Amino acid sequence: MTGTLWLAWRQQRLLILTAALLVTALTVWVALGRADLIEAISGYDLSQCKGWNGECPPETYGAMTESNGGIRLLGAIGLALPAAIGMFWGAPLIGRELESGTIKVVLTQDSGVRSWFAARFGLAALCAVTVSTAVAALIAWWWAPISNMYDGVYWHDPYILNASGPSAVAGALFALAAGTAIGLLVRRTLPAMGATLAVVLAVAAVLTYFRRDFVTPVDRITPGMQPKRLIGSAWSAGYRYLTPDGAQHPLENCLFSGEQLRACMDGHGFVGRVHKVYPSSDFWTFQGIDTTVYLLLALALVALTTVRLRGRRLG
Amino acid sequence: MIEFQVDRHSGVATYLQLVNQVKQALRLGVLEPGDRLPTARAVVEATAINPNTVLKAYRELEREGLVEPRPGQGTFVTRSLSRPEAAADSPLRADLVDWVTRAHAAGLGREDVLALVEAALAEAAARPRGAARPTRAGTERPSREDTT
Amino acid sequence: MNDPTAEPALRATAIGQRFRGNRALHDCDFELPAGRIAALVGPNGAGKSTLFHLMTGLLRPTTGEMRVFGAVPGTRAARTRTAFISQDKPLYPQFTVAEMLAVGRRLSPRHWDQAKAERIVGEGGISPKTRIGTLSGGKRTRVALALALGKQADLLLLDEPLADLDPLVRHEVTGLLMAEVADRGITVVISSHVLPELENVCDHVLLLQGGRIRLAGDTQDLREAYTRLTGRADPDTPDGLPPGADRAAVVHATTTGRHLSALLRNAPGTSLPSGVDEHWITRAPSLEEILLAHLRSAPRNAAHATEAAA
Repeated sequence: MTGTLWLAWRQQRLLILTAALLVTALTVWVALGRADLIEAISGYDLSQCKGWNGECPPETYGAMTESNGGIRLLGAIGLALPAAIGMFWGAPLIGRELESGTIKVVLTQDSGVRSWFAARFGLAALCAVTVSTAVAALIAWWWAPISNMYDGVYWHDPYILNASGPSAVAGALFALAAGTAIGLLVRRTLPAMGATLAVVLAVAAVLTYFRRDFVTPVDRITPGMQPKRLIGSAWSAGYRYLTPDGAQHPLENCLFSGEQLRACMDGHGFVGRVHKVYPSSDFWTFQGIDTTVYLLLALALVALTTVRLRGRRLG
Repeated sequence: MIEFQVDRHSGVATYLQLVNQVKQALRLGVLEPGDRLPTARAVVEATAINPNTVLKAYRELEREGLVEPRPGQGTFVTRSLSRPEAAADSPLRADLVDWVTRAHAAGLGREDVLALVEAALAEAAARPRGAARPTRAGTERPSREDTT
Repeated sequence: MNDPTAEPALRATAIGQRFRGNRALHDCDFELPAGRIAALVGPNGAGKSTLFHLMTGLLRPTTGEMRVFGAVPGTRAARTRTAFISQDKPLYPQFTVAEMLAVGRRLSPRHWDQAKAERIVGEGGISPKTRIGTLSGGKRTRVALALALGKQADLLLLDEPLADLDPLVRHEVTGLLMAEVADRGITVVISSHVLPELENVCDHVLLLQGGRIRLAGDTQDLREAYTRLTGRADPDTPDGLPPGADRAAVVHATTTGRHLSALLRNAPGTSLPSGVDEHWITRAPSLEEILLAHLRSAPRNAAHATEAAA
């Protein structure tokens, strides 16, 4: 194992160095950006701007809003990170060895395929976890002072929901496992990188699109024509109309406002409105779903890779 | 020490080439009793042939009583093939040199000389065994007298 | 010379290999006693590389079984006793020569001989600090060889190690290999599509054609098992062969005008084919003649099978 670990280190040290530089640079940037933010918002009462209350004083809003661009950019980097790890770390991990034939040198040494794969995937996974944890933590750290503030970055924005928290780390692991498995199957680095990008983006898109189906939103019911409750920092999942029997009906039945709406509601026998929302505590529910799905996929891909490697089609 | 040359295109089995080269060296005095033959490893590294071929050649030389293996030390020459009659200062050799000089003077080239020697060897071999020696001695003597 | 009860270095039993439905190898049966230098010869695409990959365990046979000193290729027991240089001699181009040797030292620590590996590299005039990517083909081969020989394996598998080498380097590399054999009595399988470069080297031959083993055995035994026949073609037989000659023993025969040239299998226990008398010019064929005769007498479907193996 020590031998294969040395080889893994020797082959990945350039990537590790690059990743370390990237994390260091981001840390410096975030530290500076966050210090600026703290200074800018000191002396303001931010509680007025929590959520989407619409009563945020312009000066307070102005003090916070400066940092939003940086947080979004950092979030975008966090969003791209799994794909980058999958493409540049995962796809060549076995793919390049197959392409160049060097796998034939390595796997005919005393140490076997298990130790070789465990060492190189283990090291890559450790680095992927470290880097993605660092970036996710940086995002959360910068965002925390102005989290879910008026017109700012909300917990359900992909910059936060997808790029921070445990699911971001699980996503990086999944992308690494996907790149590794695809490299093994495709046996060529460049096509494997392309395929990895496609797969990682597709899974992220599917998760983003479908994960809400697994979580039931909270119903906020306002009887009759009463003004709706402000959304706060919850995530809107749409409106419904309510009939006395408790049944909910699509918004499309009455797409009006004012008197027209009243007439329409009366016509349909609607007695109230339902605002379906995900409260901010659902952040952890969504994170849980993403993390579970990513980890299960990663596990399945590592299992597939191991089986394929032991099936020996390496010549 | 002897350095072997292997000719892949000669048609002669490789081990025989080695045997012949050792014998040639023994005849010419390049190798003398007590000399050590190169190790199989050294030979194969230089000639790029199968080590068993070298061992086979050495076994053949051993069988002919020319060399003997000494465990842990190598293979040593035990007997010389160089004969006084073939030495540089022998009368027989001097005769032959004279004869070749005359042949050249008469306009015979290298090929002609070799062909003549081959023919003479064949002729001598064809004569009755008992008669061969005195006859050859008989023909030699006058020729030597001729030249002196 | 070898203990007949010892495990053979290689034993293939009914090996078959398919790639996506194409048959690359079929019904390959052979045994290679330990201590031999075997030439694996055959045209390009005959399945030589596939066979090597089966011997190293990089590939598992679709059918049949391969054994290396009795062990399944790819298992630890087999791996530690086998060294392999594949045809493309893959090395890490960004590694230095010293680092490349370190791969062997660290991944095959069991019997690794660092001094030997360094000597082989040094004798080629290669500095340990040189990057692999900057080396010429001959020097790369030398590094690959140092990596394989440093491992001190009992079975050395070399897939076309001499291709793309100039004659001088070829001679040098072969000498290096033979010295290793002389030192350690190891078993070597060395493939080539050019037999003459191995004729002085091998004492065992495996002829592979169209995914099948056409001929396998000791080179001396093979030479003694066949006779080369030349002479005036017999006007009374359609094929020009002597009327009494056993036609089943003919490997390959050609007539050019009145001249007949043929290779025949000797009758069991004799040094002549049955039905051939002393009126014919007979001689023991060279190994190359035997192999060429077998290749030329390829069955009609061999071309198809060769394509499938490519």
